[in-house]
Amino acid sequence: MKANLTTICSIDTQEEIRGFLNKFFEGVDDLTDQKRNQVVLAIDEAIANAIIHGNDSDGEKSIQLDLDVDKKRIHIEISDIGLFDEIMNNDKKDKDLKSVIKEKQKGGLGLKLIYSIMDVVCFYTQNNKSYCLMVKLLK
Amino acid sequence: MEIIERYEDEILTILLKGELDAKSSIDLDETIKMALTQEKTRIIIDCQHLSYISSAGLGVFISHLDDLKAYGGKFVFYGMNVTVYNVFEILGLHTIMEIVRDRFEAQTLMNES
Repeated sequence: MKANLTTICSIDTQEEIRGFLNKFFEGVDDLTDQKRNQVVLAIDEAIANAIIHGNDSDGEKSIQLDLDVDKKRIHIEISDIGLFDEIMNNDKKDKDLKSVIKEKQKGGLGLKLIYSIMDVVCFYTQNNKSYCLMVKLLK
Repeated sequence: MEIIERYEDEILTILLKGELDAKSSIDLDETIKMALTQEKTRIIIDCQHLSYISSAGLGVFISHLDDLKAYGGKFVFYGMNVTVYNVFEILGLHTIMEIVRDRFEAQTLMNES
C-alpha cells in the first residue's frame, strides 16, 4: 500500500495533510486507533519542522511525503526537509522536560515526540536534497 | 480552531474547539499572553471539544507555566479525550500538568489553590 503527497511549505496545509494521513492509515491492518493517531502526530511534527524551520514557511517551496506500508512496517519519507545541519547539531530530542519549562521554550518537543513514537528515525542528504526517514513497526 | 473565553469568579476558562497545531497555537499564545497582562492567571482549559494537539500547542502551555506560577495562578485541564491525553503521556506532561475529568473537578482544584 503506497501513497504520496506534495504540499507547499505552509502551515495552512497541515490540517488537510492530517486528514489525508488519517484516511490512508484507516486501511492499514494491525494499526490500532492509538497507534494511528501517534503515527499521524509524528508525521505532522516532522512536516511542521520542515515547513517552519527547514524552509522558513516559504510558500514557493514544496515538500514531498511518501508512504509505504507492508505487513511488518510503515515506511515514511519526507523531502526536502531543508534542516539537515540543524537536526545533526541539536540535542532537542534528549532535552528533559524541566529544562524546556524553565527556559520557557515553545519548541523542542516535536523531535522528542517523533523519537518517542517511531521505531526508526533518520535524517540524511542525497544529491543536495535533505530527507527525514521514519519507520513504525506493526508487529 | 475556535478559542472561546469566559471569565467568571476570577477564573478564566478557555474552551478549545478543533485541532491545536502549529497554526492555531499562535492564536492560543496570544490569548494567554493577553490574559496574563490582564492578571487573569487562574486558567481552566476546557478540552471537551479538542480533537488534536501537537507539540506547538503543548509548547504554548509549557512556555507560560512558570509565569502563571509566579503570579499565583495555574492551568487546570479537563475533558481531554484519549488521543489528546496520550500526547501528554508520551512526553510525561501528564505528571506535571493538572488534568482532571470534568468541570466540577477543575473548579474544585482551582479553588483549592
